[in-house]
Amino acid sequence: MTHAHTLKDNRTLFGFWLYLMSDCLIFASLFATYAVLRSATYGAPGARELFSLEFVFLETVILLSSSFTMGLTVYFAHKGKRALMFGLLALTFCLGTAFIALEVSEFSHLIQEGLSWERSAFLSAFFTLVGTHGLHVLCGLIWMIVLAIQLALPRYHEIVMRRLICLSLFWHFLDIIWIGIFTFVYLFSFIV
Amino acid sequence: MTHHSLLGLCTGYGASLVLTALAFATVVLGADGPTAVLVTKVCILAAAQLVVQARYFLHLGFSERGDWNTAVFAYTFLMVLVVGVGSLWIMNNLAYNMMTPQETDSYMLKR
Amino acid sequence: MFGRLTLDALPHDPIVIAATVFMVCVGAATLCFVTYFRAWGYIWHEWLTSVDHKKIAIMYGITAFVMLVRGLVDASMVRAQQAIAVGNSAGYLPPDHFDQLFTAHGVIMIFFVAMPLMFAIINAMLPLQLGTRDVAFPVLNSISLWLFIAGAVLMNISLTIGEFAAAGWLAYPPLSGLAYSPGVGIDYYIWVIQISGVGSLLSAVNFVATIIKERAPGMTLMNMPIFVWTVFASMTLIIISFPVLTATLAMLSLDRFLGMHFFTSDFGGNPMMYINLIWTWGHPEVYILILPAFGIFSEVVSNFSQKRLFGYRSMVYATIAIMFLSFIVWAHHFFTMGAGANVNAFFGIMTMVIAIPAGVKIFNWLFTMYRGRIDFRTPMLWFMGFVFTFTLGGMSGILLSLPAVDFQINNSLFLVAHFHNTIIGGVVFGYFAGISYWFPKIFGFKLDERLGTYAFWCWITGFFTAFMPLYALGIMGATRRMSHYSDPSWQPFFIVAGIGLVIILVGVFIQFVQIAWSIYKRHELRTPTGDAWYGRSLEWMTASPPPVYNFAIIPHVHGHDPLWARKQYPHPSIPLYTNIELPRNSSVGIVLAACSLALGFTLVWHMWILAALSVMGIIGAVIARSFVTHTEYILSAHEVARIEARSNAL
Repeated sequence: MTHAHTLKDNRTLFGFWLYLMSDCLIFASLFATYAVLRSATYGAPGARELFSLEFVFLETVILLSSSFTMGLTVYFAHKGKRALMFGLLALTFCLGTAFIALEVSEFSHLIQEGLSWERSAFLSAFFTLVGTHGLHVLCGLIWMIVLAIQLALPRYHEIVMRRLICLSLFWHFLDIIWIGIFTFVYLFSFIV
Repeated sequence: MTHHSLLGLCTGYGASLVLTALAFATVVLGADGPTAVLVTKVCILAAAQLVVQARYFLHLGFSERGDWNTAVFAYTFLMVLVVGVGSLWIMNNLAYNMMTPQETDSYMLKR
Repeated sequence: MFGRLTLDALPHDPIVIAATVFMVCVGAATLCFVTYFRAWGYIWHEWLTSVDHKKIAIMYGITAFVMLVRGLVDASMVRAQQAIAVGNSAGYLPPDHFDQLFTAHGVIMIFFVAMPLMFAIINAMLPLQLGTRDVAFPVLNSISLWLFIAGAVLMNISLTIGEFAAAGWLAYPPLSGLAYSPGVGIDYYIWVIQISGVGSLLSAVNFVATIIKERAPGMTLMNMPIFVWTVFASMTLIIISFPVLTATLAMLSLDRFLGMHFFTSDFGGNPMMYINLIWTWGHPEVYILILPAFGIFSEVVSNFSQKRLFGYRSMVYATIAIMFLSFIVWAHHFFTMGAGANVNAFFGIMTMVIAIPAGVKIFNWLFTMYRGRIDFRTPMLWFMGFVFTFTLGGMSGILLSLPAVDFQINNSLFLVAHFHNTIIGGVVFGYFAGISYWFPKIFGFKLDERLGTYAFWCWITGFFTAFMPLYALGIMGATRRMSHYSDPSWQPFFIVAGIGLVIILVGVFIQFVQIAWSIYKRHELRTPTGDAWYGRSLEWMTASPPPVYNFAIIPHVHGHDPLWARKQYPHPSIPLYTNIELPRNSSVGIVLAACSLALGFTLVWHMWILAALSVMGIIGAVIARSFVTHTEYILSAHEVARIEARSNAL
């Protein structure tokens, strides 16, 4: 890597990190709103009645594992082990898709029972907070596909490492937000 | 942000799994304990996992020569606390002052 | 396919029809003008797709001045209505129209005049002050500009097709919810702000990355010009506070589009949470606007007193203190909403505390002037006006910071006078000072001094005439946003306020004349070198206007006021030019803006299929851009030498 290259990487990663910080504040607003509205169930079932801890535990382990495999992807990319990199990226993609599938099934189950976001303020806040996280995960999945193509094509060789690191930052950040969600949305519903 | 180690990643993953399991276990096994204790335990476990993932996955630390990323993250975290805690303080205060007569009765009875 | 858009959406009201016709004529005239001179190629390649920070700055500035006209027209209509509508007279504006006017006035002035003027000045001067070639992410810079323009265009479309919001510039629910504002106005409002808000956030990321990563070698943080420090603080505030605005307006739009219940008055919604969150953004927003103005004054006072800025360190600490404190005062905007005494007391005290670092800054400027050789040209006049005006506004703010007093005068005309006092005295005067100070750097010739002086005196006289009556009215009990009032003893005050606005309008007119006249007389007003005011900081080292690469050789910097140091200890050397890599132009900004504009418009009118297509356009454009590799071009050393040989740099 030339000197100019490292400088540009440095700048891009820092800029992306700043964007992630702004994303933290979006989630902070949604968390605060959820906290304020969590008991506003308007007669409908509340958090404790609706959530299943086993289900959330499974989602958590899947997302955490995908964060781990993403870290491994970057590790092997640095080492130049392209086959391992692609394999782990594919695994990360599968785990992420599984997470989304589980979340969609939870949502559609609730909607089918007539408990959509229109039913109460609590449900609006829940769907929005968890749904925004899910939308971010979905964007990450799309990004993975585009990046996989660029990783395969030699003409993007110079810039692709920087983008992979940005994606991994994004993905790890989403797992950190999930810590907040499973703690303050799901676990808290059983103890507070 | 550059040089990770395989050991670091595995440590982070393992520690996170353990912390997650502990958090879920606390709730599942101790759901009839005092609320304040449960809340404190779960929050500490969440904070610990945050630190673990920040350190081992995001490579945030204090070692690398004046690393801006950690400072920026710390500042953002502080701001998140201000927005969250501040909003909750204000909104709880408002809710207290806006209770209906029935809510006031049940609030006083609880005390 | 067309959602709820019908021909009914076209204007029926004669005033709106006239405004529409005017807008369309001006737009058409501009298009014809460009076509007649066959300038589309030039405009496209040199301006619209440019990623050069200096050109982007000029485009921000032009759009801001256009929107200033619209904001002032809105203000004029409000003032005129209030001057007439007393007792039996209902004025000439129906209440709904009046409500849209003050809402539009607020939204335009904050989002489409103040913010873009700020971004114009920062874009123009930040890289030059830092001794670097461009911002960290030039293409992102272009995207920010175009998202802002898309927001402005959508704002102007709302005048013609449909209606605008009528719930105030912050659109409190439940009034702004679906139940009480079922029309398209609030939806326009939401998307106008969301689109331009993304642009602001991206700019902030860009500028912070530039400041942290792109400084000239040797420029430590504590050697940066104070203007750069204030920009750093302001942009940090944007990164932290704008997402709160985005999330809050998103929740409001979810209430309106998907029937959610965040802020409805039933189903468990809590409208007070909206007010809490929107002010969590709203308060930092005013500090976002004022901090760069403070920075400009630091530069101007130092230069026009021909003295080093007094108390550099304390200025930095005061800036950072304001940055932190501005985040813990927000509840003072809703003392009357029902929180208890301890909450109100905390926020009241914090509000008073934030006056301290502001005071430190003012005293530092005054100490800079002490025993300096003051040059009272236009930039310094704006500063003198600022000291008097802003200090008064600050004091009325201290009055408002006492919850007990605020209970009497919250949401009265006293409040309106206070925030106009600080925004006009601080932000507007500051940006005008910056424009008159740095205009010669960007354009190569100064603005006419005499017309500048006239404009200043019109502005300050007009401001006091327009807003001092409002302070009195507020204490007498006048509530804000009233289209009609019953006490006839108030009318003289409103009339005087109207006269004040006319004086301001004269001032603005003089400013437009000043620009036109200065362009006409540019050969006489030309600055012989790039150093128009015998400056102290790096930007005055370049030619005026600077070449596309700013500095042919990136300077090495030691200590404060680096240009001043070079002037005291010149060490002439033979320059050794190298090839310079520069970013290529890009149309991705325009494409993203066009798709965003389409998304906003189609969502407002419930054209769901077209909205989905717009989203795909946005995603597609981003992905397509990521596949472009040929993003830079090289300016050869030979070419650089040729440009430098003809330049008027020092």
